[in-house]
Amino acid sequence: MYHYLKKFEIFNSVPIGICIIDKDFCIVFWNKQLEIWTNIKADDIIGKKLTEIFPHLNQPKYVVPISSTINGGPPVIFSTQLHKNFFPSFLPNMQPRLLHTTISSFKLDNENEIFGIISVEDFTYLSYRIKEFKKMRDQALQEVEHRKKVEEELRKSEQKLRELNATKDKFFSIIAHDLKNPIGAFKNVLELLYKNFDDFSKDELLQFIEPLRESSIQLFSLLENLLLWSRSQTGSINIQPSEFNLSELIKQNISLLSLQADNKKIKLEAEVPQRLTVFADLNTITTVLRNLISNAIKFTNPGGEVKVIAKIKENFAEICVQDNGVGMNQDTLSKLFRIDVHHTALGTAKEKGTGLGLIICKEFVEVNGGKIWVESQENKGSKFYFTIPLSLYTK
Amino acid sequence: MKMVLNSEQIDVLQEMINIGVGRAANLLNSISGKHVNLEVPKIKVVSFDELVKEFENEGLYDNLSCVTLTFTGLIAGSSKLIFRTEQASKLVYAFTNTETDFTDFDEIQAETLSEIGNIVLNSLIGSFANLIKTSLNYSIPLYVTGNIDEILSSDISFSDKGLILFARTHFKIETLEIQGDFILFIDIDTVQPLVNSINLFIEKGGFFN
Repeated sequence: MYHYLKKFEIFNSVPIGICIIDKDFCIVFWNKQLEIWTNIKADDIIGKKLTEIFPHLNQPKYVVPISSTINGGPPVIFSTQLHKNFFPSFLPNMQPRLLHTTISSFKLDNENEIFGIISVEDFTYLSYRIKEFKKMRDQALQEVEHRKKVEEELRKSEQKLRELNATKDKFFSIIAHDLKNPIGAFKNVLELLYKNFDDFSKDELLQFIEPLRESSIQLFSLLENLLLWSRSQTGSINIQPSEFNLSELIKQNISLLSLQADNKKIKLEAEVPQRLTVFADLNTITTVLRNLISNAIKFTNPGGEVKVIAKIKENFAEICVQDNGVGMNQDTLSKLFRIDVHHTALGTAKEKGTGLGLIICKEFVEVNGGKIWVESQENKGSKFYFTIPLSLYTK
Repeated sequence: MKMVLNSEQIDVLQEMINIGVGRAANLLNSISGKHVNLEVPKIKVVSFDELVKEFENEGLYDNLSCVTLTFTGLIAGSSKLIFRTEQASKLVYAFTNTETDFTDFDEIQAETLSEIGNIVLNSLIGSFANLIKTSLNYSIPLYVTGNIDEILSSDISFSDKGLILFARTHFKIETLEIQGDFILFIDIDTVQPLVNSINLFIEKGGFFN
């Protein structure tokens, strides 16, 4: 039919599919590679129209650009993702082969006729390799993610162990110093009184008893905190959030601590909106308030002022216990709320402390879903803030 | 040196572009089965340095994907459609709906982009070929990835001669909006036939004759 057909035979030696059509869409060449991929023999289709053998190529999306190309127009590409079956071809497992098809035009020497050359490349294995590579990459990323998680868990666990160790050290430190020394002093004074009771006048006896009384109040407070703290460490504190009036609670605590304030001639007052209702555990919040107010009194000079201010901030009540007392420097501030750092300071009237109160405050505020922080300036005073969730009623 | 065209001549080029864009959008519609809106709002004549600046101003340097189609004949040169790779990935996704995270671009996605880019470039160059009433010889489209220097390295000869047209293109497919850049380099030796055809077109009254 075409005397130059022989020239195309070179395409039987290439590893890509080659089909040549004339301007009437008639197949003039079909190479060996296409015979293998499609199971269609060249002898069966040469001379027949491309659209007759592959009727789906009659669709405008194929026939329009192919016609343009074989009439001298630009080349066209039919990619594997958008055209899965330009030349239907299947792998031995019946999965479709992914064939990338390009059509361009050419003229033979000394001939005027334009031909279309359809070249077909198999992208199936490339596609498999890309999928495998992506799978491996995703697995590697997952592995890295998993390792990060494990490392984070280890870090947390190490931190927890450090805290537990610090808790134990703190506990022993309190037993060894803060309890042993005052109780030792108690024992010695009582021993002295027991042996020489009749030698002392009534006034002298009172002089012995007064410091004992003050010391017993501080010891009792310490024991209360110690007990609370040990209960919180063992998880035996039962947190039962309920709605309660914060204004009332602050007033009650101010009233309870007013004697301590009066003794140091400190003005103690509250600035709290009426009917400020919160949703938290009453017992733990009472402890927090009492500790913070008591601390403020402790570190305020006689004649000073301690104020409890409460405000609504978004969905929380923000409580601030502020004083115009001795304040703290940055070094001291960095040691507050930390179990792993031992820090105590005597109050303005030489009141003793263990630093345990603030640690308890932090735990109790956090267990109620709030935050605690401090702002302070040396010789100007401190502001201890904490938040607790508002009740639905207040929101 | 930058070639200068007057505003009337640029309007003709813009009109050719608009015709090509319409044809490309129709073909893309028939392939994807989706409504593809393609816009090339403003074409500019630029120098090579101004062209590089256009990319710098948009923060485009690395991770670019480009489809190039070169042509010879009465007018000769090359045309390019350049995308930020993440935009190219989005464009392929709009046509194929295959899962992708838009960060990597594999060879299968690249050959799909080549098909889409080729359709757009064919339609645009076809419009110019129609204007000068000639048929051109085209190369097989080439996909290149890299930074802007690598992508423009084959066109460095245009830094001192020839005509460079630049236009920002916008694809809108369903909810996705994708931006690419179209560049047309015309060899200095073949600029005159194009200018003559434009002038003849204007003389004849353009589209209203």
